[in-house]
Amino acid sequence: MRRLLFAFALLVVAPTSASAQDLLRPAARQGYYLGGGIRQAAMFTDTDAAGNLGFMMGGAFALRAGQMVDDLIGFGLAITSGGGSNDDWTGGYGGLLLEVQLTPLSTDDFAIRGGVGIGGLFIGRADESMEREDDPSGTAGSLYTLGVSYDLFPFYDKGSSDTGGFAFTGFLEGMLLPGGSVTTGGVLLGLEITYWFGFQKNRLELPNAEAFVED
Amino acid sequence: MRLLALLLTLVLPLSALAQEAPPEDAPITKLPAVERFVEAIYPAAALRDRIAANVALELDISAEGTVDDITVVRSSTIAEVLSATTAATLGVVRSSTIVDYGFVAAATTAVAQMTFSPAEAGGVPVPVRIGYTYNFALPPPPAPPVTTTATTAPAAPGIVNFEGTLRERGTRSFVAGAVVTVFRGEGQEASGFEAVTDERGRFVFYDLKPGKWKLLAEAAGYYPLRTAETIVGGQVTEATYYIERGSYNPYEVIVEADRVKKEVNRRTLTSAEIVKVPGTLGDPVQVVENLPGVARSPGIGGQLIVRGSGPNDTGIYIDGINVPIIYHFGGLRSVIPAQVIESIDFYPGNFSVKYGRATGGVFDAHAKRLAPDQVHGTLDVSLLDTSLYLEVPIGEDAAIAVAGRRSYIDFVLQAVVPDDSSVSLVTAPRYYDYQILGNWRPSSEHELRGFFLGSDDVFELLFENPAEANPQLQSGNLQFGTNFQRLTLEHVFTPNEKIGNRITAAVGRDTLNFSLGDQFRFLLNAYSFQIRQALDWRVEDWLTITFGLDYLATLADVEVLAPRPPREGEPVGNQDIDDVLFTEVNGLWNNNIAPYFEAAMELGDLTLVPGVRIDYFEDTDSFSVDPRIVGRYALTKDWTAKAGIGLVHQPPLPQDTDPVFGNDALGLQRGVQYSVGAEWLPRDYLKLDATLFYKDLHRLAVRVPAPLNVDNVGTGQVYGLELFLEHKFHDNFRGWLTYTLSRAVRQDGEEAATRLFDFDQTHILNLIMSYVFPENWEFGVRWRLVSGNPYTPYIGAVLVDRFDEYIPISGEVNSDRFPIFHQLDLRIDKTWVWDVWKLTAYLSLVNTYNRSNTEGFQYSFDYSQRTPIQGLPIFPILGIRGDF
Repeated sequence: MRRLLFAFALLVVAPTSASAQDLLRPAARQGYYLGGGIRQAAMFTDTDAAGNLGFMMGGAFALRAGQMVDDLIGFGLAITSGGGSNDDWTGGYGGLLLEVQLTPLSTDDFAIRGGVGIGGLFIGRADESMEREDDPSGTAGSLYTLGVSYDLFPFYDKGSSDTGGFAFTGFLEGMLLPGGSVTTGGVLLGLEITYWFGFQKNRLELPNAEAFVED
Repeated sequence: MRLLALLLTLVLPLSALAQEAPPEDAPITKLPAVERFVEAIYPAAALRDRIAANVALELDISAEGTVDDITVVRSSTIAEVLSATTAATLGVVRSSTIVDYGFVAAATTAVAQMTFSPAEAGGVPVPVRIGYTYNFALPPPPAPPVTTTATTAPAAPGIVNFEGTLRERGTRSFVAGAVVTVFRGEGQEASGFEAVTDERGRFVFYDLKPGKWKLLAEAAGYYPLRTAETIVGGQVTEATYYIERGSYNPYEVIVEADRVKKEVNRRTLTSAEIVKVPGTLGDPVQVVENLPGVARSPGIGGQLIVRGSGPNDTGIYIDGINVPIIYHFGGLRSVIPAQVIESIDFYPGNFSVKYGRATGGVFDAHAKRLAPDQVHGTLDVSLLDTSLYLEVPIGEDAAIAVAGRRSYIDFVLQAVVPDDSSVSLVTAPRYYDYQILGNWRPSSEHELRGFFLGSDDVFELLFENPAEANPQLQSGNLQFGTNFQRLTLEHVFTPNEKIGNRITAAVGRDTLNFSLGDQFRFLLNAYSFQIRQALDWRVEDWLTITFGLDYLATLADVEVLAPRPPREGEPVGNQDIDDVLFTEVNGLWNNNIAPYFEAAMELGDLTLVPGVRIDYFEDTDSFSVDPRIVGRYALTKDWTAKAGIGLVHQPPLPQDTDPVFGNDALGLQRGVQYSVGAEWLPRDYLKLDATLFYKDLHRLAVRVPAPLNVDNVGTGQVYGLELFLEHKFHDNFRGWLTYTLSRAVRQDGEEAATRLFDFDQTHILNLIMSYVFPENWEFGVRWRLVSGNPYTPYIGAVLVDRFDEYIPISGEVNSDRFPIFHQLDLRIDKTWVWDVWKLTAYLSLVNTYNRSNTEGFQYSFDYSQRTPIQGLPIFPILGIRGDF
């Protein structure tokens, strides 16, 4: 009997060893990010029971956390909640999203970001006395977002190897929460404050003076 | 001139290597080591230009210890490895263009002449492939102005005043073969020294001048460690450094034992491959549902349905030992967590004669082979449950591990079910399981293993008004609990390279308690005893024969008060629950014994594995003789043709041989399994497998009128095609695509019409992909597209005055299908690494696009209308896991 055992040693022959040592040039949008902010929301809702409920204007907020895994792509989580109303209806939504952001352009500060997760929507009459038994009450299901953002770093020294620190993040994004009998979507425009931090320096191309520091 | 060549010892965890015992199942217990080292000739041009290098190779080492084949993985000069800035500051290594100065030729020429002590599996030498790096380190420069090179073994050692250990961040494993450089000064003042870590990660420097030194540690696959250290005169500076791996994905250590295949199809998944498959919650059994030939389990039932057969037709084992259940209730978790599993083997058909008593497939999970070099542990907390795993080495030759897991669905339900609900949770659903593993290898010939597994499920409901559910119900107190333990001891004896013997003994206890008030109950208390023995004898290089014994005995007390349970093809919930039967059996022994014989013949490109298994079943007082044969033929280097045919027998279910519920004269069910197919391996990491299968079933137990109740008059046929495209982890990507096209039909008697099996699923498509990103992120996707299960529609209803209730009229059995099932699952993992531990957070989004899949129908009171019962909606599972 002959057997062949393939042993890929992690130390010396791992096929990813070369890429593992690819170091990145320092940038503002590197490492982890924590963000939060408010947004203006314009929501539309379509229901089987009551038809199109018209645009509902309102506000929303989101908390976001994640990490750029390299200079192109980042992952994170976002918690979002918001609501709006018009003359007849009021609605609110919330959700937990897995977020992905891409920085396809040479400028690091522009990003395309999207998310997928779980969300819920509540709908009610603006005037409770007008409530009917067959009124739609809301839905729950998958929540999707897609948009663009730009980070402005007012305090960042571009010559340093540090991560960007505080940034003002402006963004425009759309959201969609499809349900069986109720579907809602919206356009959100807002401003967030994002804090970028924490890239480990041993993964950056650093000058000797910064690279070799006694612990 | 002095040439330093250093062998970099691989530090593969033995647990990762453990695959199977002699000749096919033994773990790799000993790695090869250099017996005769041949020094390579240092390329003259490189010496002149002061260039050092590492040449990473893969060596195929034969069972005799010779080097059969050499593959160059990577050649890098030190000037390349170091950043240009750093290299320019060093006196010992100057910046240069990346040129192969002849290092590869020199290294391969030298290595080809080396000999190794062979690797061993259970004391038997086996051929292996290992990684090996030949390190060309520069000798000191001829003129010693300011620079000398200190090494771990200098010709004339001075005084050690700086020594250290290099460990991997997060795992604390020793990093061998890393180049550690200390340097300071610039230009003519520059001086630098280098050392290479040994297998314990140690390095030393001699006679360093006091003061601050910059330190650079580099190893392939790791981020460079850059720090500084102050050397104090007259003192020895000691330090431990933690160097971070470029990626902590578990797939970089991939060990595959290409054993002699005794089956047409054997799918082996390692624990690392199991844990992060999206949508499976890291469960080793749920992952199997994504393999070809396995049907989707309806709802959250938790069943293994293989090639159209029923769940009871699949043999479920842990290290070859039967277990009564494989899932906790609900089917979300199996009873054995991935942490204590080394790997799983799954056989959709044409399995070895080692396995029997099943006409479907075989699932065999292998408990972890412990070989820790230090204490390791894991704590995993998710929204479903919490699990703990701890393994501890005991001396050089032994280790022990304990694990446990408990769900908290009960806490969640207690919190969310309102007090005024019509259902009270007397005991909310909860499960837990626990395991103890032990390994002891007192000598190279003997290995002892122990494994204890326990599982417990329980819940109790109190319906306030049971008549609302069914007017025939008299009580609303529903209790259900299962509990089992298994203690397994195993001894592997390998006195020489030709003989290997494995004997496994297991004892266990199973209890099952189900009751609905005093109206129904099912009480089972059983003990099981199992002995497995397999003697492998390598008669010739081309011939290995196996004599084995598989003995299973049970001693059971059973008490049942219930209506007849629904059989295959009968709608669930359509029974007259007033038609209750009672049976009680105490001290019922059931002995099953099966000697078997198998030969594995390697005849050039042809491998033939004939075998025969003889079973005796006490319950039916019958014998069966199961001859089976599998053949594989290597058409080319990349293509293999394969085929198999085998007879299988399966005893009837216990309730079917009960004289009250079934027929105590019932006989065995029989099947003939056929498979033919081909495998294509265009790359080491890429495999395409196509298999046509046919399964001819006879003597199936079907319901017949009293007094027989059940009789062996059914027949069935299952046929189809399985496609399996597998991309093993390579370039940060792994995934597989499986497609099964099948048809499962049966006749419940000569006069009966042909109908579909309950679990016939025509099309089953699974796509699984995972990509490992930098910064220890991993993103995975699973998408499934499956035909709906057949079901029996109701075509009308009649009003029964006695209950003032409609009773449905069934249409043709399994004549309709549920809509197509499809579902997308996502999973993302992020790992943070500290010096001595790692933390992983994960989010699994099950049914990401919230597909409403129909799993059944709910009917109106008169069965004139129905609404679909939907499967699970989108739900997220968050969890964190710490490893140290």
